[in-house]
Amino acid sequence: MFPPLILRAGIVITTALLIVFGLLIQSSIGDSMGIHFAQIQTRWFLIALAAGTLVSLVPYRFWIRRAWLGYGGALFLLMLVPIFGVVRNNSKRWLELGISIQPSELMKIAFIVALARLLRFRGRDARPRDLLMPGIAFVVPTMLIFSQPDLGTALLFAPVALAMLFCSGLPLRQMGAILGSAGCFGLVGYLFFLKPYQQARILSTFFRSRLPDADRLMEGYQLEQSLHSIGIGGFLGQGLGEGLQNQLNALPYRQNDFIFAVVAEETGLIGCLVLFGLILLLLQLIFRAAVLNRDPAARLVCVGVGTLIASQSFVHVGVNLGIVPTTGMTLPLVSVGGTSLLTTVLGIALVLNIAGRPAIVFSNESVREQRERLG
Amino acid sequence: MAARSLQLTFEKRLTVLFFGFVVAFGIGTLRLAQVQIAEADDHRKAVRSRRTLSILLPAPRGRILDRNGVELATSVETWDLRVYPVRFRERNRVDALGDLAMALLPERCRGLCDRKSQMKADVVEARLRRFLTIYEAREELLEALLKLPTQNCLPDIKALSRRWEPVLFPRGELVIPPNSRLRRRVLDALVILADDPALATRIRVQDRLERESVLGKALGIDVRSVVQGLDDEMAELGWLAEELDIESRDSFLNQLFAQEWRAGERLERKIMAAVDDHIALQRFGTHDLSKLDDDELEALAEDLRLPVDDSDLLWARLMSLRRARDDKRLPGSVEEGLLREFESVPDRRAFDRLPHARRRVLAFHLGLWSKRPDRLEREVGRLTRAKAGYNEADYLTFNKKWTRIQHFKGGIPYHLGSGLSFEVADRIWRTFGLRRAGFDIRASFGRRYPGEAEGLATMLLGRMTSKGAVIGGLEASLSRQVDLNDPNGALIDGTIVGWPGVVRRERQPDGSFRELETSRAPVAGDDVVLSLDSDLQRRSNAILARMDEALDGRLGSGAVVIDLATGDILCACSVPLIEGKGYFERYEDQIRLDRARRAFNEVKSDLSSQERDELSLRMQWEVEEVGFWSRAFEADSLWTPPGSVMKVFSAAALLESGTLNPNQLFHCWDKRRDLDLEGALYLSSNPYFWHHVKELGQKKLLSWFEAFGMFSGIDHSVSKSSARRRRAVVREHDAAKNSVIGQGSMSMSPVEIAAMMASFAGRGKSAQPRLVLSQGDQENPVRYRGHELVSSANWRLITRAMTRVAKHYAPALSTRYKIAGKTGTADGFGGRWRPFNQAWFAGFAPADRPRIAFAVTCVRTSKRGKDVAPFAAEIVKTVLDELR
Repeated sequence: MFPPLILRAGIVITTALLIVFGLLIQSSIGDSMGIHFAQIQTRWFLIALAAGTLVSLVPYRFWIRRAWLGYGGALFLLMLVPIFGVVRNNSKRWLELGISIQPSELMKIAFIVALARLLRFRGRDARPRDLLMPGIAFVVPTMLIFSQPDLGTALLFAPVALAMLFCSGLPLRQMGAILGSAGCFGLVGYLFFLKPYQQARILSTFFRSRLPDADRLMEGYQLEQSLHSIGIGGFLGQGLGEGLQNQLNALPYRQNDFIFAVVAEETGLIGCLVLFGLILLLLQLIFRAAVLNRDPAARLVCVGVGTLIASQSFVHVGVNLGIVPTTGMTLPLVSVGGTSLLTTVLGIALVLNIAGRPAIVFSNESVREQRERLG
Repeated sequence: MAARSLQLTFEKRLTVLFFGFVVAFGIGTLRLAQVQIAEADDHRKAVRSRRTLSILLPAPRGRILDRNGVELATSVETWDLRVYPVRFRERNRVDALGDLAMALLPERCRGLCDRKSQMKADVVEARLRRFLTIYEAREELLEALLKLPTQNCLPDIKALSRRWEPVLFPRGELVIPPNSRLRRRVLDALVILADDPALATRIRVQDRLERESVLGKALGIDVRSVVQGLDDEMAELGWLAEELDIESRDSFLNQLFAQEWRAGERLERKIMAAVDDHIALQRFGTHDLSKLDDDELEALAEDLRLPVDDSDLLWARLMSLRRARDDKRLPGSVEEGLLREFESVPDRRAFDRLPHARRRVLAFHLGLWSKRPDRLEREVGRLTRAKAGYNEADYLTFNKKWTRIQHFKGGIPYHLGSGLSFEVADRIWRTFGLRRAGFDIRASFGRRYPGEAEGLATMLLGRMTSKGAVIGGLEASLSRQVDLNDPNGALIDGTIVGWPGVVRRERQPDGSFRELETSRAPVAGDDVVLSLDSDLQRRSNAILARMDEALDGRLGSGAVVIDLATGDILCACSVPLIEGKGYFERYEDQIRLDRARRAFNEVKSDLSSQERDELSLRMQWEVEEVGFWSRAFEADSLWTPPGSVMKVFSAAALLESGTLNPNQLFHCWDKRRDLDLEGALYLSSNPYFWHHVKELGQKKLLSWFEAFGMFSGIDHSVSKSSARRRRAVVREHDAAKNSVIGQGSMSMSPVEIAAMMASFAGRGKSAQPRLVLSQGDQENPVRYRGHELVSSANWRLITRAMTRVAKHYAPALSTRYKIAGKTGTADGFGGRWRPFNQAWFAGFAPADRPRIAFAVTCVRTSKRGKDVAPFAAEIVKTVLDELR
């Protein structure tokens, strides 16, 4: 077990390493845009640092108690998107409020805190109706984000919610039922709700080798280029700023959705393994912070934040490697993306806050014991 | 305790979750290793090939020289220019500007797009007018366009996509490509204005369009730079027109748009055919109507009543009607009316010139319905669509893979010009605008035939098509096909075509090109020195031409002379000479004939036996007339029996096998006298040989012929390919009675007869005839073949008879040059060639000490071998004088 101080230092160092790694990669992006991206990211990092410091200084219970306020605010912003949102890349996800923000990113952290508050006293005794509110809290933002359309972010809520349910102590039978229903919903959603281009993307991921050249180029251009970038990286990579694909501008959106391909091209297999190591280390540290704290809500927040970072990273890497259908997903802390960085840093700041205040015990078990004792 | 158990449970669950992620990232690591280690080479190759521009440089082909070093064929480097229609339409900047202007500034561009006309001339003219008008107004349009707010642009862009259809596809009724791609094409137009069509840039522009407020800013361009780009592009087009010898830039554009229209039409037809396939599948259970049986097809043809469009058949039917009228057995009044209708058509040529519709009327009234599955399929599709009220725009959502891929690739390219120089090609490669607009340059080989050698070279050596494929002739045997698409030129085997070079240029991150070390210069093919003497060839050919005219050879004449000491073929003449251009015309004739033959096969079951015979005969005539082979080497496409020339070898075989006493007299009923061998040879008596070959038999006789070199051809496979088949036919189908006098299925070329004569002149042993003296550094050595077959006494006996023959038919020259020769007159042709002969005169000279062997023939003449003899003697004189 890590002492709290070391744990917090570990989280800060790992996060800083990931951010520095990201800045290095961004500055190596060709077409004279790299420095520009690094500047944007630095600016956002400073904002995120200020916000994170604020979040970490105020006791976490303050934020958990006001979870619904945050959730409501994020939901409100999400609802503004269809009305005042700005269209980019065929989808309406951004609000221009002086700076451009993506409410779906803010919703991620608000959702985690709200769900943690809802699930903190559920666990083994949870009845089906106890899952109603968490279900609603999950479905409403998911549907709003799905309609933007942003399938990737919408689907990211699912692993976060499932992980938090799982760690809240929900019986395995109920977990199984939920997973089964999610599978059925996924199938129905694929068949009836996805647009043809989304279906084509999924198909092009799993049956890429069978597609004719024309289709492969039309539907899977980015994936093709991403694989080329990763492939030519080899074991040691081509060196920072030396990646051919990167410098020749062959891979669109490589500063955010395909930054892993740039990492792989320029730092090779070694660099990728270091990146995986850092992500898993951060996840482990966040989970350790959860174990340290006895407050169920705080624990679930840690689980949510850790799962969010890990699953988002996995989806990003999977998209780049062609094992997950192509969707626009940033690599947390590494990709260029203001709101994404802000959200991740806020989440980590909350975890640091929780790791620094491990004392008070409010477990589901003890409440029941108290109730029994009091009759 | 309870709290402890909860903690444990929570930790366990957390551990499970963590290991879940470890497994997930483990899978990611495995995939990463697969891509970065196992598939790394593939990806490196793909990236490199994407960055590398390979330009294939053709190798100069080796020269072909005669034995005295005179050039018969030299090599010419040529480059062909072609354009991809769809790419030109979508990627040139004037059209891009026009499309955007029509979408975003519709009030300024009113009247520029004429959608109603479907006539080619109108569409092409409208296209040209639009193109030039847009270009004229470029500055004004650009100023207005670049100031447009971006937020207004994107919704309008959807409308723009629809305006493109009628231009691409003249009827404007098809939805191509699918809507999901239209927006991308609009963005392409924007990016083309920004002068960088890379896909990644397109995505960036798309991104910037959503960030920036004004179109010009989003594209990062200003009016001046675009105007400069457009002017450059138009100047390049003007320069190209000049290079292609087209009078003006506008004519060039007109030609370009006409081709574009045709390409659109062709693609449209393909799509319609695809639709028809689908409908036929629904109606008949098969999309291929050729799978229907004859009865079904017949019923369908009757049902659809599509008149045949085969003018051969229609003309034959018209002629039979005319004959019926002359014989006063015309079936009815309809036919009478028809004959009156076509009374003004005197001959076939006039009939062919009739409008298509009039010929269809004839077919309609005669009730000749087409049973061609492809026509039926189209008609079925058309009727069914009309009946079912198909909305093609809805129906064709561009699911057919072929058309989709064709469109994606830019359609089928069309040729704009050929024979360009490398400088022009290189300038096009370096001109980004032209390359982007779909102009492509390809190397091709070419031959130049200096002086009068073209006919000779074409006939003898063969020519190469633009793709480097050998049509035939000697060059075919000296080289294999060249795969121009293979940058390593790995398929080249023969040295005459050399090794193509390649320029490989790698695109650098700054957009420039760096030449790679793997580039290599072409290696010229080896020179080939032939045994022919071009001067002798020319003079002999003149004699042969005179002979052909005098003897009225219906299908030409041929002659070959071989030097006995070395086996060199000194001349191989053929009449008529086929010049380079005529060669291809003849080739096209042959293709036309193949089509006619297919049409005949299709309708022959409908014809009466008389009509069938008539058409069949006409087809046969055409086949023979169209043939464009060398009469010196060819014995396969045309039946050329050697006739009595073979009696020389038959006599040697009979004598040497001991089945004939040369002095014994035999009553030859054809000559009405008793003859010994010498007399029978001199007078060319058939019964003499028929009688004596009975004992020897066909098998042994052919063995003797083959010992003299029959069917062994020459050192290169100019006429060798069919020898095996011809030998098999003679072995299986002919009787000794036919073979002994050179009749039956036997077909021999002059070079083969001359080679046999050379063998006989050496009493069975001779130098292998050769056409190539050397190829590059490699000499083709003199090779001797055979062994002594004929005893000295027998040889003298036969030679004496041959000398008498020569003296008799060409007295002056034969005495002076001591020619030993034998006439041959083969008949037995069917059809219209029934009255004609194949006339030969072959032998060697001088008779006492042979130096040359020769064979001269006239194909399908009413004259006989004796008439060929004086001309053959002239050729012999020419050659012997030269040798002295």
